[in-house]
Amino acid sequence: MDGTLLFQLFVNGLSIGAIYILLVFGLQLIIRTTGIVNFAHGEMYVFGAYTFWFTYSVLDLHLGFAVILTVIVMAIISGVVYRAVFHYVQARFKADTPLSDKALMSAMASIGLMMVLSRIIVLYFGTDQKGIPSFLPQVFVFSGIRLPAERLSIILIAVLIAGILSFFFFGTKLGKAMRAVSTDSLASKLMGINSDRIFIASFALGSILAGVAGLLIAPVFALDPAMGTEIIFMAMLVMVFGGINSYKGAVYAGITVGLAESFGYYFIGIISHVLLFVMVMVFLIFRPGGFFGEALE
Amino acid sequence: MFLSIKNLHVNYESLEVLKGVSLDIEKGDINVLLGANGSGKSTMFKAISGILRPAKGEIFFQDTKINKLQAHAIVKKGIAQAPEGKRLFIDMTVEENLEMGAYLRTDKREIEADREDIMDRFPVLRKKLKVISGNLSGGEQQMLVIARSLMSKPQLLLLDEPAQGLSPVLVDEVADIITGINQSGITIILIEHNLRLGLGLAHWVFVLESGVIATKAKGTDMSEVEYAKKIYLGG
Repeated sequence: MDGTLLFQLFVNGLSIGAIYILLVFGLQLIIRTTGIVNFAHGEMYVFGAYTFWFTYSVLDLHLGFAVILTVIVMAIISGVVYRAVFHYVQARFKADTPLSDKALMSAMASIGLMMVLSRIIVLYFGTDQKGIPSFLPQVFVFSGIRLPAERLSIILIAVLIAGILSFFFFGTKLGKAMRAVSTDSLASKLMGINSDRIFIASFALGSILAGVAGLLIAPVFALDPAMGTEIIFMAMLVMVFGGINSYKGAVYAGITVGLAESFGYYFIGIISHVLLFVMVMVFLIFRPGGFFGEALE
Repeated sequence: MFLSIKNLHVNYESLEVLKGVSLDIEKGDINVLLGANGSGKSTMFKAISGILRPAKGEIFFQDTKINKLQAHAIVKKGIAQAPEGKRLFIDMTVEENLEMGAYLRTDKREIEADREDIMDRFPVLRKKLKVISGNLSGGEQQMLVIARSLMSKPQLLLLDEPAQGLSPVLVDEVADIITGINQSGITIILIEHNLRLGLGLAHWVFVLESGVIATKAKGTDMSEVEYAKKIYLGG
């Protein structure tokens, strides 16, 4: 066992962690603002990956253009999905509905939606796997350590996105309004904030984050219509692990799970998922609020 | 008429709380709304602010019908509410809370100037602009709820128990603040359980009883004792 391999596993783990973190940021934003636990979030990740594949690989558009188009398509899809489904779920929430009730109601709706969306993806794109030629095929070699630029770029882009989000939430009016609605939607209505508009904007932003995660993973793994249903449960697990209310917790949990997966899979194979589950159970029992969060009522 | 409520029926959790409230409010007054617990005072505020939809009846503000408008549109018309129970954005700083109060306004320079004026009324908040509002004392939080509601530059301010849980010294301070706000030209409707505070300020008093306005009186007409009897003993 040499240090080179360990370092490569480390970078791989971080890049997987970065994908989880982006997904969980989206999930958390949507839960905290609208109260909706969105199991269809994984399908947004699939839509992001496939849209990017289609624009970049099939239509052969310029990379930057394909990225922008993917973001726009994600905004549209999520807007339609919110208005068609979650708007009606959200309308049933009252100011004093506990999060656990909201979670149950929205989980039902979103699991149904998850099934519908994953069928749509199969119908539209077929069941065969798709690959995207890497746009960053370079491999950096530092004293024997091989670092694929793609993996590094995922980590860097995730850090960049976290920075942009932080600026958005603390430096812009819309971002602050999202925070306000997530703390007290009744009080924010009394401030003149159009909460319906904030709900849809939060849902779209959260879904765009999932789409970007899909876009980033597209050149690394083959695309397959089932990838959403696989990752959503991991993402939910990471979220519970880090605490629903804590973005910081999501970062720690994402990195922990990413690394555990990377090293675990290498050393003990598929059983590593069982260990992950055990880890989460231990957390649920002894620290139900996750790393930093408060417990779900 | 400045604010006119006509035969307002409002249900809350499938219970008819307001059963035909009618009242008229003139510009410039401090109006105090009294009534026993559960008589529907806060429900009435929620209906005026567009949080609850009336089952029947109409609300006019400056001759415009507002009972079909959404909450944010009502704020835009010039009605602000400081809700009961210190409903601040507790994760946000004092400054950010005030910014949210001015959410619908775009005139940056004027907002800044107004904030300065408002801070003159609440000197205790000026020193704490960067403090997370959840870390303020109870009294400071109560002040911030009022200050925040002023940031939308309202013409009509609904104050729901602004002195709840405050020490007597602070209650006097709140009374002075309310008087000051009113003197700057803002019409006020006040829900207050503290009769000394409420009746000390009132130009007009409305008593809500069994879902309707049972009494309307000039603020100076009846003594505290009579009001207390009326409300709590049904006399």
